Amino acid sequence: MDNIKKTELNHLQTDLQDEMSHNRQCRGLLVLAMIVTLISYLFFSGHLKLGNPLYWGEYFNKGAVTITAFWFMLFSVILLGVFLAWVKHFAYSHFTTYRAIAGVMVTLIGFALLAEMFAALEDQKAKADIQLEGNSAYQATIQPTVGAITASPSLSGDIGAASQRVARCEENLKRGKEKHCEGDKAKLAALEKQQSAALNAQVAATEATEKLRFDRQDKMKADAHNDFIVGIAKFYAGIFGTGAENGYVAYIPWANITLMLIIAIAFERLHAFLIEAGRNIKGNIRGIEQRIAQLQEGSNPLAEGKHLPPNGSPLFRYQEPVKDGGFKQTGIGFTAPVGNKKQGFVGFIPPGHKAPERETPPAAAKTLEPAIKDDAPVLFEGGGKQTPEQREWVLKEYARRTGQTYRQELAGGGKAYRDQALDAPAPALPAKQKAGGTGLQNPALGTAEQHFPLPIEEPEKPRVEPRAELAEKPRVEPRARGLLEPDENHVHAVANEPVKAQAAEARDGADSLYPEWVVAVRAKECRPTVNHSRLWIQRRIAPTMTGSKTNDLKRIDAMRKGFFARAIREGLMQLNANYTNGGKKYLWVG
Amino acid sequence: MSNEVQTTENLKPVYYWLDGYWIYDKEEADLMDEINAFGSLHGTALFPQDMPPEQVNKEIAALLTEQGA
Repeated sequence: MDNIKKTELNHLQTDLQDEMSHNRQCRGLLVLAMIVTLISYLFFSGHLKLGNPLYWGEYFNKGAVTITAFWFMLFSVILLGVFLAWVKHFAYSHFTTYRAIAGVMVTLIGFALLAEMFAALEDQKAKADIQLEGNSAYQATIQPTVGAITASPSLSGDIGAASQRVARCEENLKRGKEKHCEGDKAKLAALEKQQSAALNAQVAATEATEKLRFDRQDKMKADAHNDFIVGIAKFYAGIFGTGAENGYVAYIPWANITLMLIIAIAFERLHAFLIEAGRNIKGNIRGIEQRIAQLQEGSNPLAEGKHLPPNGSPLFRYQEPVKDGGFKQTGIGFTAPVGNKKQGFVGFIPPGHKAPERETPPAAAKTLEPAIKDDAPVLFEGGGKQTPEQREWVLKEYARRTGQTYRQELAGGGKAYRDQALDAPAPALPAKQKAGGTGLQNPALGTAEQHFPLPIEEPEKPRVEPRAELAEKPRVEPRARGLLEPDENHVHAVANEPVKAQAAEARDGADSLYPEWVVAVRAKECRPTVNHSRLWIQRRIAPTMTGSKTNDLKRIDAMRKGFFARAIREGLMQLNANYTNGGKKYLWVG
Repeated sequence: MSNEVQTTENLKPVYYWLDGYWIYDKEEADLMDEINAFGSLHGTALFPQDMPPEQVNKEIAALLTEQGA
């Protein structure tokens, strides 16, 4: 095992240990979250069915039937709490692995919030009650402060005496001893009126006192809540209230609801995060272990460089050598000389190369005889890569000589594909292969036979010497995933069979990263999200990325974007039309 | 000379791979090559700027066929 493999293995082992440590922490936190969830749901079901647990002792004072019913209810409370907590945990695990169903998610989280708020609000109330029990000021308000409403004793005596006098007067009036009793009657009426007024005053005073007492009690109950809740209530009162001094007391329940809602949402989010983090860690551990196994078995395609082209020479910038050296123009540009050829230039075809028979000459070719003479100068010299400008010049120069464009050629019935713009000048295909011709043709220059009639009499005296400095040198810097050593011999890379084999391999996508990513997504090993895919790419390329460039987040994300763009074009992925903040931006449909 | 420049300006490079996938972004193409994303190194072809993507697909496919890939 070479040093690079050993180093990579060491790094992977370190990463694996880190991930295992994270996994242990995550599992511990998940257990804790599950317990908290269970307690929360137990409180919820307890409050729902049996009331506040602080007062459950009352059930035991009501006789055997009530006690039996209490135990049955408690059993159902526990079952309901365990069921709800378990379902929630399972659902969160499920949705972090598979696609979430919006309706179920809303129901689950909505119910969780409701249950947690329900229990928490009951707890807040009970807590306030308990605190007030030991509050002497509050206890003072409970004591009656106003005595019973009573009539004045002296006034009652006066009314009694006045009534007696009126009765005596009326008796004397019957006997003729009195002329009238109006004076006594008026005095009695005045006394009675006075007593009634006194009693009404006492009632009014008692009412006012009681109202003050109850207001005081309400305020103390409200103030028994946390200052934060009181603050929220005052905030609500400032916005919605009437401006009364103690108006915030009416908003204490809303403040409670607000605070409990915030707490419940935060708890739910953290719980979901833990499960999601657990999934990520598991995926990372699996990936690292797999890579370690690959390295240890020596079958890692990355380390072996199997995924790379046969050498560092780009596929589309080579020239296919013929037996004794030479050049074949590929569809794109011009490239380097290969082999140990001593003569020739771009477009040169050695003698003896037999051309395959062309099945049907293009119709256009029948009318467009090449106008280039055998002694015409070559259009492009040298083995270096042709720049777009050079290539365009070559095309135009040829068109100037032949007067033909690609579009014209197609309109004339030509079926040959040309790597050029439709309106750019195009060379004509030979109407008929010359005897002994190669059949090879230069898309830019046309057939080689037209430029250089075969056989070449003196190949040792090339008309244009190939420029060695333009020859493409083998790539020596390792690419991202392999080619650990420069390939001295890049000739084998340009043989026809390796090219086709590599093309087939590319189609199979056995060793390239994008198909692997697609497979990983389909196998649920990588979620088709921005973060997961970025992490997956980072994990895959980090051990072998030896270039000078640092794979910062921006570069990794650019790679991820490239993958997503291709997946979208191939119909594997699509943008989520219903995307909202926090939701899934991309949907995997492949 | 001006005509030549005009012709070149009307063309747009397309970067493509042996599996037929292609893009317009050179930086992205280089980046994809660095990590061997698509199983081969990209090639470059020039097409008219206004050529629709469907036509580019066909052209690239024909180009690859011609190259025997």
